[in-house]
Amino acid sequence: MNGETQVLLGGAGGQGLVLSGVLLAQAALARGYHVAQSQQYGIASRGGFSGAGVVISREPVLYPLVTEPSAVVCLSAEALDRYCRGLAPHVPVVYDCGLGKTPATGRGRPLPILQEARTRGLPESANVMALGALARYLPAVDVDSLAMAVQARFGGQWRQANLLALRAGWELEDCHEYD
Amino acid sequence: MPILMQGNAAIAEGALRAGVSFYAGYPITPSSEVAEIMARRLPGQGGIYLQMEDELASMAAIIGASLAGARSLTATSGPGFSLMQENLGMAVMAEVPCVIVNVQRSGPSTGLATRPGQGDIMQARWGRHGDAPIIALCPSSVQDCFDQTVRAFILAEKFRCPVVLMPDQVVAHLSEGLELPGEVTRSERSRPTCSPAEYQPFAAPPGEIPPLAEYGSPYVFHVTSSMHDETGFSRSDPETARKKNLHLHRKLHDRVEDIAEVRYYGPDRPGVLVVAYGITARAARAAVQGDEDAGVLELATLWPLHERRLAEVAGSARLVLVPEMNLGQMVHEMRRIVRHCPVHGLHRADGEPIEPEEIARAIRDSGGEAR
Repeated sequence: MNGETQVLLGGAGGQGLVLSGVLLAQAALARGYHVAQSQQYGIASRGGFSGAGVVISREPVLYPLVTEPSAVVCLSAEALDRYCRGLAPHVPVVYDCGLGKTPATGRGRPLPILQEARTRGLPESANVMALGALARYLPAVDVDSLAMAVQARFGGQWRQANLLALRAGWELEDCHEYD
Repeated sequence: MPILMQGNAAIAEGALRAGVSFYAGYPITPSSEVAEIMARRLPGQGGIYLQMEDELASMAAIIGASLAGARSLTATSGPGFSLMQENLGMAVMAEVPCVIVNVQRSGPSTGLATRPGQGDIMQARWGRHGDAPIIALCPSSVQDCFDQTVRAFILAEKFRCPVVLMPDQVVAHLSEGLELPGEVTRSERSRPTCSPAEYQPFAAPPGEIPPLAEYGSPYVFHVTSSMHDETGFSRSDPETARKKNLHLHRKLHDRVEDIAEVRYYGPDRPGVLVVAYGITARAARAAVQGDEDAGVLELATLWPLHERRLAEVAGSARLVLVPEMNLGQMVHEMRRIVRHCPVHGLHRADGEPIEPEEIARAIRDSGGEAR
């Protein structure tokens, strides 16, 4: 729809991509946008596919589900299969470069997200790291508004871990050189 | 400043603001967040949360709690809603106010537990034996989840009947900005003013709702699911049965204008009218955006149907289109109500929501009828 930013975030159940969607929606809402965050998941609590859709708009959102993605995040091979069909060539697809797969359509942005999260001792925060990388492509939010959403959502050690992951993701995308 | 909230959470929040004091349920996807929030919040507010052994018992428990004076609630989804039908019938017969949330998922049976459906429309109206009329509301946004839950408690008390809130899985699991009002209008139960000796729990002039005393109060009264007269005791003569059944029917259908909320978006005299509810109503609104000939009529109340208003809005239409996530339920009601033009259904029962483009295409493909 006109003037809307539509984002898909997909991965394996338990990776936390729905939570990434909630954080994104929260950050955009705090900046005065209208938002709608939806979720898609299977009957398994871990494993299997899990994903979120986020629609961000200056106008009230009529249809709240993603129909024309303007950016995509994939942390599993299945997410690449599901979410990268028929994307326009300019649509960025931020995905983990260790999945052994590339997006069929869209503009691939392979990043070592899962490995980087492990190296930094933040394996549970790969979802937030991916969100930090994605933020480079979304004018509606920046790393500071996302950081506020992280602070509001998490306490204790998880707040710190996710703030680190968020900034690491933002910088990962900035420093990465694509072929 | 709106707060980000999920549909199910908005239902729980709406219920808490409306003064819910008793919840009994058996958690089931995609309604479990309602139970989770109630379990966390109700006991701290002096309310009671009971996790039941199944949905039959859940429904029975909220009837008992309501008769003891509580504002009572349960939440479930398709398979659980089926199990609640028998006691839902009892709540109709005994005129017990209560609110049931049925988050619609894809069926039949346990079907697709995490995917949306709109296949419970007719079950909500006709799922019980006997005529057993009820009120059913259908929210289409997170704000609507909150607002309609508050309204459900008001309607339940006002009409002394069960009210079913029927979000689909998409709306129940959607997060959007919610404006929380400072305070909400709470339902008031009409209490008897006569002496306990004179109290008749089912006596009221025609078209009016009899006051309801509380169990445990000086007003001692009898409640049965069998046919009964004004005193509440069983009677099986035809005149008692006729009066009771007509009362149950007329107390809702004669007051349809007070109950049924119909929302119309579009030009004054639409050539194409899309009739939809829940998430599908939002797809329809997106589909006709900018179309000067097409409008959307959203059924925020599913039952009772505001037939006069539906016929009125459809009066100018050359085509009525009814998209729904089932193989044809509300479309049959529209065919009964709208006789002057074709009424087409657009149906999908694969666990996927109907997208705006599918509705726009159906309008285009209808060709001569639509244009």
